Amino acid sequence: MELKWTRKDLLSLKELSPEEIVFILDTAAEFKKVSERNVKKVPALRGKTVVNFFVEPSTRTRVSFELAEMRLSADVINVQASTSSLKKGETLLDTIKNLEALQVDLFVMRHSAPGAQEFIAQHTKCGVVNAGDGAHSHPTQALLDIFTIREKFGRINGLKVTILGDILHSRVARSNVWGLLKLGAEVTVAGPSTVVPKEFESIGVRVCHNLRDAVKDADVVNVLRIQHERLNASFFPSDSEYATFFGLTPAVLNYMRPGALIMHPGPINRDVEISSAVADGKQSVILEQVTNGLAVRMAVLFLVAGCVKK
Amino acid sequence: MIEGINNFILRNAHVIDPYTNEDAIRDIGIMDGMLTDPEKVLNPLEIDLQGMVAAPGFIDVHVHLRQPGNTAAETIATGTKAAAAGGFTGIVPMPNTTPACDSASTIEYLRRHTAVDSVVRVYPCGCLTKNYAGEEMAPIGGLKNAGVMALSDDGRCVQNHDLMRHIVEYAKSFNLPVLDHCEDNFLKGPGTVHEGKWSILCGLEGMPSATEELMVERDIILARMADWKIHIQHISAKESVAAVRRARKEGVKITAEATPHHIALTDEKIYSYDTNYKMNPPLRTETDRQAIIDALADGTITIIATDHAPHTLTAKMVEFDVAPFGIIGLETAVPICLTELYHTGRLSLMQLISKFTLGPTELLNIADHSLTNGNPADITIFDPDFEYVIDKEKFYSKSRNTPFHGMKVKGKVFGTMVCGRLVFDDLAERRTK
Amino acid sequence: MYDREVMFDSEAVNVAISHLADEIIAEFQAKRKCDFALVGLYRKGVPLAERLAQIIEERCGYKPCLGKLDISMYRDDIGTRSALPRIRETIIPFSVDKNNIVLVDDILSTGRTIRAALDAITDYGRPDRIRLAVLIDRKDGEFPIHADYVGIVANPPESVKLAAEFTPEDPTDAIYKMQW
Repeated sequence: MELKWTRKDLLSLKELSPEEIVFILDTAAEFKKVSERNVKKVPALRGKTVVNFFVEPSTRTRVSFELAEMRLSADVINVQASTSSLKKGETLLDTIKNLEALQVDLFVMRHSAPGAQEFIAQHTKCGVVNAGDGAHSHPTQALLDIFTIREKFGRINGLKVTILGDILHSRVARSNVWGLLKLGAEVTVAGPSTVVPKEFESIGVRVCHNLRDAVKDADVVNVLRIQHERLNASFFPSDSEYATFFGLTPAVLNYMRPGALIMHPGPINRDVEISSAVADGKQSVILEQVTNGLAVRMAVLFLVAGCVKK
Repeated sequence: MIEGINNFILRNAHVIDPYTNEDAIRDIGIMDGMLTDPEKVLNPLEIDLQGMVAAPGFIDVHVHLRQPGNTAAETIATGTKAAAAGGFTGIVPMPNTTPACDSASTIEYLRRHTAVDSVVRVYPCGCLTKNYAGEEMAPIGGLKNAGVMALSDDGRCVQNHDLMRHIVEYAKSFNLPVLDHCEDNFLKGPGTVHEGKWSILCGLEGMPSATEELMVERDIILARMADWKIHIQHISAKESVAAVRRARKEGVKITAEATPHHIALTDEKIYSYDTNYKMNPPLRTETDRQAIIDALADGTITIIATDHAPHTLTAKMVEFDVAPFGIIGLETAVPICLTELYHTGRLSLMQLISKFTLGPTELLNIADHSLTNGNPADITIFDPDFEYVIDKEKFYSKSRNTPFHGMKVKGKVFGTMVCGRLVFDDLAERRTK
Repeated sequence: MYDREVMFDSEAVNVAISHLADEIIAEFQAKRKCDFALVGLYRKGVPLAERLAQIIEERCGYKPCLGKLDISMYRDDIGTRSALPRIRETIIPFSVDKNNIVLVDDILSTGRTIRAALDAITDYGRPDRIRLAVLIDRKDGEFPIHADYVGIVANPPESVKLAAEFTPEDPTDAIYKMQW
């Protein structure tokens, strides 16, 4: 019996089956073609209203979602925490209920509190797409990363993928780990010992605190952004120390596999976690990730909005 | 509650009394609020307690009544009714109210209101520091005169060891035990759950066990220095338990309490982001839970206390990060502990009952609490084998923030008697005369 | 569960396909003498279009361009179903601008699929003309959409579902009547 899509929310890759992940990737492949033709739009979500509810600010992800929504012909509303009623003390739930009363169809939500979207999804009849909840989950980012890898290698199974950086605070890392493990990749997380906890071993991931060991056999290295707000909490001394020991430089590339892919969710801190030369080099697919992000988000919105909530 | 009737004969009660080591089936006589020879009771109401246990009244040394300051969540009236329904004849309310119980006037307020609104005994507790801010010592002498029986900054922990040392020494001179909520603020950081596998998978900020362990060790040192009683509240980590065991062996005056939720639950529950699993100290691993149960069995932990922390529905119906810590516990403590400790064979009924009676009265210097004739009739009556499903809608508490709703348990409180009055009465079917 | 019964057997189906091919050739080769492309609509329009292309090439030496179109993104019932099937690969390997497009589908029923296909194909460019070839026309359209080339006209009652199968992906060529 062929798999059909039945979810009206996308909260995390944790609960998806490998078949569902592949379903999204295949759907995204079709949506990628839409952005490559002259009329970059389809009427799929015509008449539907999508609210981009970003409690934690973001430009890139929001723009990507907004464009995806517009290319699906949806009507878009952007609500930011700084301008929303949350500042005036309204609870998150009340804010959502008020928006729901405007007969919107879908929430694309980003929040700094892990589990916030799961909480909201239980209390609204609208669909919820998670655009990031604290350090927990960022499913569309992981999907576009995996899509990019699959486009280049034709598969995920058996590939060696290293995620490099502040894993502890990264939702991108966690979502990638779940998605990659489900599709059969061998995953390594690497970075300073203060931000790469051993507990990841309990789910089948290799933990590494030495850059060379972490990347020398990798087919893909996904470099995470150093988030400066974390530096205040004394996890490692400085940008330059991080760059010295964990920065992905051309020298590091020399002892990696020649065809290895370099990825980064963006925005990049040039010459901190990644050298300009590497970010702009021929192994880098950073810009393709952005293109693929649009296709993946169109696919996710199409699927989630396409299903009635039971 | 039956107004105006203080004379009872409780027939066929299985009396289990840790003060006298009595474990026998007999009748209990109550006249004018005091325990007496059943033959001597005039005009008694008779209740048949066949199959039920009668124990000295349970005391919960860690309860938040929220009055004054947060009466939306609980009041003295509803909180003490909840205590009675839970089988408790006495409670120690924590002083982190608004205003805090850091002066005689607030204690007087408490005593005035409990006299009118409370159905159980309330043993007042004062702060260690002004406004429990951890900076200046509270007027401990004045608090003692106003009637406090213990001191605590619960909710917070005095970080300045020099200040804490002076507080302990000063409290000793007034014979007041110090109850400490052990946590190091720096290690705690922005943590909301136990730092471990589950916090990492869920992307939540964790508090390592060392947060608690560090201050437990600090308290052991200060208790030894001052030769005075420091009581570790809601102990949660196996390292803290080991430290307390070691210190007690040495003769240091350290005691500890554990909550029913730390006895029954572990941190894998946070996976659902349900805020009914968010409390401080947090739920920890199975190894920690077993260490606590072992310590209850070997006497390292002498008290079970609920840390009953009411919050309104609105307050808890938010994102996990911003939800306040705490769950209610008065009405689930006895069934949960009977299910998890007695029916699993880890503790005998005598041992379990002592955690609610002997332990607390030793800490607070309460005398005459045993079921001996001549003592006030404070009695907890329960059926250790009665099976039922916990229904939070039936709670007397104003709040509903419990993780135990819908749980099947074995053991139920049927009656609570304070000074001869049945302040909780589920024994209507057992009236004989 | 469906009960299925053969409505048109392999011979009848092949006669009908042959007839369709002849009509297409007649319009474009004989009358207009211009290029054209066949676009099969998923699912069964695709193998049917491939078959037609093959026959047309055999009969008159002209090989029409071949495209495949999935109209999921253009449906008018989005948000009403509880389970979504997988989108299939749309491949239009030719320019739609100034071209003659023949949409190919197995069964013309309500006309909604064709309506969606018209919206889809015109998002690829501006064709000179669009024609519709169907193997079976049920003549119970909900929209004013009519086929230009029809293999067989058949109108069983509304409760009867029809299904087509084509070699080589299926064991035989046939049209089946399906009843609950």
